[in-house]
Amino acid sequence: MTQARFYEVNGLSVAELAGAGADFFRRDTFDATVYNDYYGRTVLQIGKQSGGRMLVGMNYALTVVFTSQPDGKILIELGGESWADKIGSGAIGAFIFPPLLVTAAIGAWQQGDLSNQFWVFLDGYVFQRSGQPARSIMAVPQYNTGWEQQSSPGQWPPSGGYQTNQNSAYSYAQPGINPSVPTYPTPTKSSHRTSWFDPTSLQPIFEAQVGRMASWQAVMADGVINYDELNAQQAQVDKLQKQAEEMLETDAKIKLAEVLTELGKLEQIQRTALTKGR
Amino acid sequence: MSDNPNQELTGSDREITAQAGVVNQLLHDLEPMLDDSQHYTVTELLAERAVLAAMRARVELEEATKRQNESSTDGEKAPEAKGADWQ
Repeated sequence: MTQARFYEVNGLSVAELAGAGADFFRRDTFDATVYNDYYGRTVLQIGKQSGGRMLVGMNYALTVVFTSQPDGKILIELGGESWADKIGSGAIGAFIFPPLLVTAAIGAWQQGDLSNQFWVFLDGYVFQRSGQPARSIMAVPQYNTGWEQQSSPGQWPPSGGYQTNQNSAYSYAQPGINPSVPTYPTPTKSSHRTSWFDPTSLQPIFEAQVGRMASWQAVMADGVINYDELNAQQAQVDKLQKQAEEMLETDAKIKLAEVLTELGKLEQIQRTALTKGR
Repeated sequence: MSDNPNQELTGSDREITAQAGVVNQLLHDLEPMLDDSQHYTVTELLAERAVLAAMRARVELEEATKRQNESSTDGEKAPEAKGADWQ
């Protein structure tokens, strides 16, 4: 079974595919989270918190990493374990991220057949949205090139350590003749995005998600946060804020400014509570 | 929460709950105003901001703990120093 493929997705964006993938698995009672990792790749994590989690014996049963390629293709890698949790436990250097090396996890992940479900979903979704079958080619790892040691933050190779000049034939998905391919809803304004509120507690998800964020796990890998890391994170936030403000209409921009102001007050109160030893 | 910027923060549960309510309402107002690409970017912004807040809180907590430890260590040393003088 293939765990990494270069996909031609007929102009669909990584954000849409990741969001639609998350929605697809959520409808099947899985938990799904989408975020951008330290290297700017889009990561979709899928798992179950209850019985399913116990069955596979890990926090997340499937991690999908999307990396846009210079030629318009998307490299899609599937791993069978919570890579992010591995980073958090300090294995950052060893585990970023030759996905085929997670052999222990792959066994459990195959039992769940999540990977097959994901490929079937992807082929069906691309076909339905674009009217054309997705074309994909197996990604062949470049073993023993030392790329994993050479890469550093911000310099992740787009090819993800896979050969890009392969001669293998592209395979065509044929969702039209595959009865297992379900029908996917056409995206609407809110169909493939993660709500900001937990459906059970109705509270914002952001604080609860901190531990899963790649940026948090990266700075916590050595257990210490220094001022350089704080400044880098501040710069990242400033960059995203500027990017968001440029995208928003006036009303939304004003509302976002209010959110950020009040959020700042809340964070200050929380820090006061924390340092007073409450 | 009061709009008075000079009001001292107490960090009480009540203060936190009230301010969290303000933030939640604003988020509820903002979310439906965004299309998918805007939502994606603002989500990323809020998530990374939460990370920044957690980083700051951790640093402040570590520094407060360090100060407290130094203070208690000084308190323990003072009688010894005084005792040494007496000898």
